[in-house]
Amino acid sequence: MSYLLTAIDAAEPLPSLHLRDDQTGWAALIRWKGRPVDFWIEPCDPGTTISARELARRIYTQSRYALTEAQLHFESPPPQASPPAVSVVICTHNRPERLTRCLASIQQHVPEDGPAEVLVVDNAPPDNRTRTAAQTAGVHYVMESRPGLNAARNRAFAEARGDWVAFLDDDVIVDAEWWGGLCHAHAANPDADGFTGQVMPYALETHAQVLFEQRGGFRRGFTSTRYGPAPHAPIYPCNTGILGTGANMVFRRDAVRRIGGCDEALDAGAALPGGGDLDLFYRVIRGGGVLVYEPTMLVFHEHRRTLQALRDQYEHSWGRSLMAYLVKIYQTDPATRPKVRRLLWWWTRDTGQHLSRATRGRTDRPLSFVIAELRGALRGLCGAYPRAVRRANRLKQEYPS
Amino acid sequence: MEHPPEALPRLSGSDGAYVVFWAHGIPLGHRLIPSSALPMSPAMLRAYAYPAIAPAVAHYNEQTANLRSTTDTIYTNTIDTDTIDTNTLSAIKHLLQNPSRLTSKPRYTSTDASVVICTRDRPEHLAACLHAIAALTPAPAEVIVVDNAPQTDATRRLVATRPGVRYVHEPRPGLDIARNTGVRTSTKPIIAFTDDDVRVDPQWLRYLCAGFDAPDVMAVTGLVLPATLDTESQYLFEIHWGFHRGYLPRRFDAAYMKAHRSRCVPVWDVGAGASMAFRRDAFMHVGGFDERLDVGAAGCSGDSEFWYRLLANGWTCHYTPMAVAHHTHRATAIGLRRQLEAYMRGHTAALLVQYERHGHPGLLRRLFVSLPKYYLRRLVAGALHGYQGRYQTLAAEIRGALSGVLFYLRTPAASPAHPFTGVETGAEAGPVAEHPAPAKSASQAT
Repeated sequence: MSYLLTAIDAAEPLPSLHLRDDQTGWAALIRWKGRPVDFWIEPCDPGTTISARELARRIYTQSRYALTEAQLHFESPPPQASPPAVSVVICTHNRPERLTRCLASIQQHVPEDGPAEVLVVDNAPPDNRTRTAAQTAGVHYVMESRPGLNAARNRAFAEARGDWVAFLDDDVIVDAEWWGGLCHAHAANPDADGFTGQVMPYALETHAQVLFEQRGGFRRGFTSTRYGPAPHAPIYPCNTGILGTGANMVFRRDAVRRIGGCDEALDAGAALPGGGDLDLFYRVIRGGGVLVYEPTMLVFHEHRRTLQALRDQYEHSWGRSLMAYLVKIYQTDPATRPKVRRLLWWWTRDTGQHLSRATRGRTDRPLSFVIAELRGALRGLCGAYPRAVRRANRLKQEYPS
Repeated sequence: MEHPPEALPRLSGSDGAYVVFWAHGIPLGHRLIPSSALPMSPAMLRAYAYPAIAPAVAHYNEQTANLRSTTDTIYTNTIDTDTIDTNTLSAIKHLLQNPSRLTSKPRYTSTDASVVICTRDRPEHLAACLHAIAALTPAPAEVIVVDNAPQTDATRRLVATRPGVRYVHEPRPGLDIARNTGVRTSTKPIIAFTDDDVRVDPQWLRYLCAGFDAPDVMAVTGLVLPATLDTESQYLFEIHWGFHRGYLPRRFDAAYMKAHRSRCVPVWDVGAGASMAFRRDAFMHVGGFDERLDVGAAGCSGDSEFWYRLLANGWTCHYTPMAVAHHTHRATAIGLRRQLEAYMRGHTAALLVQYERHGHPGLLRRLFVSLPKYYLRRLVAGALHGYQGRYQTLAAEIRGALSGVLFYLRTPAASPAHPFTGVETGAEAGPVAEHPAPAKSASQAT
């Protein structure tokens, strides 16, 4: 099962699309003069041809307002400001091919004189292939032997030369709009301490990738949004997932230094593979900072290819790590406890609904995934965070910086 | 939006900002911006505005068919070029500079209109209301204040100080009675209504009148924005009830009626009594406001019942957001509860009145199926929320809905449904006809 994935610029002559016989649906990123404005994903019969004319009608009915919005953006371009001094950082662990692909996209789409540097943080490498890949691409390289993504991120904050650190995962490629989006967001929000961006699917070739994207993926819409410290909603700012994901985020280095860097108990490799980004968003906002979601700061992410890997992601990255993150803020930030409780209640209700729908076979989230997420959540609630803290402290002694 | 944008400052002591975006005097959209997003730079405020105004901008631009962009290659390989157009703010300006594009031929202007304000012992509200009416450009042909069963002569004295405003005394209490009196008193082909707690924009009447752009349009309604959102009650009312019907014009016609009749035609979507106008003919064709409804009687829905009657008789109602008025919502929790109780009372009574007149089964379905289901669900949800926030008015709403049914059963249908023949001669204010002709039945429609 795979989907046709395409990008359509509505300012250009429209193509006609043809689904292969193994494609059971299609997804399209709609652009206007390059600017991403809308995304569709829907099932469709294999072998269908969507004519340019049909496509035009669909764009008119479905994305007309989104296109209008883009046109308005073009009519009054934001004021030009000097671009921020950014270190683009890719933390990677033993995936040199992906890293090479990511670096190539940066080379292609990010202007030479844009960022202050591109830096690869090689996390606990088993060999020197990552070093070779970085050197071939001609970017800065640093090795961090203490395992864990957040350990690598902390190293990046220590090593980066720019005032800003832009984190990209090694399994993303940046879009041509990414750098411009970051510069515009920075110019429009000079007070912001960080930016998150849009994450679109890189491929929808397997069932797992389609399932992930149908669940909502990492997409966070096409509207710029500011997230500041004032609590405006019943569960804000505990629900930092609304901001985006660690695969595409930018922070002011001083702001993160001020709040003590990344928590190495989270995003700690297989031991606790998620939550680091949520925790960082949360602490920056709670510390009085402002984060901005910028939809044109676009990257494409290659989702897990196999159902087993996706199920693991449900169990560990979402179920277990989300709960570990919630336990952490519940224990460390008494002021927001009622919000955490409300968030937990919401999560339970939502998962319960998925469970009941999955048992009736009426969802695109298989039952085994829901159960995996629940299992992970239980483990996350039962001591996962304190365990991870002990492990992180042990690693710090083992690998002193 | 046509001016260089401004920044939105941090607000102390408020939970956020309700920002309405305009271009060339036309409201295009609004955003409720939480305080966590403030302060905000001019560029960011624009980014917040665009998604809110995009539908209205697209709409107004589609009316300017000859403003096609040279860059608009979107449909070059199709022949559907008439479906999409460039969407620019400057096109709105064009549109306004060529009003003929807005209304093919303005049938009526402000000088064809009487403005009727019904009030009761609220001279300080009325004074501000009249102040805004005096600023209307162009000025209306006449302004009539109907003083409804007043306890004092404060309203009379106030109106005496306003040149050009007619004062009419209506001793029988009831908003719809007062409105009917206003209709009979007025002399012009268009009768516009507003309330004493409303401030109209200077262009309000002009756009309301321009809304009568086809012979079958009998009613035009306008956009009602909140004047202030200072208290939780005002916020709750605006978010969950409100008079706001969006930034896109809508036409409600016989086809709309037909499409919704099997359930219940949501006539309350047509507009709000705080900003509405009718052709004088409307009252000749379908009678006056039903005096069993609205403040002083059931509590509400006299206006929407009238729209229902117009639609059922094949006429058209036109909502035009370009006609803007600002309403001051009730500031206190007790005021909001009373208001919503009256709303639901008027609503259920109006459902029964409409059923009595037209016999559409969807009305009973709403009364006996949809509403009970809705309130059961909200009772459960309210229990989880401790009956806070929007659930604090739940008891009042249910009480109102029940008492509306009782009110209908107890009140005889003695309303003057057709006292309006001969009004075009400009009858003076006088006692209401006691036993008017029976209501025209729906079977006579179209």
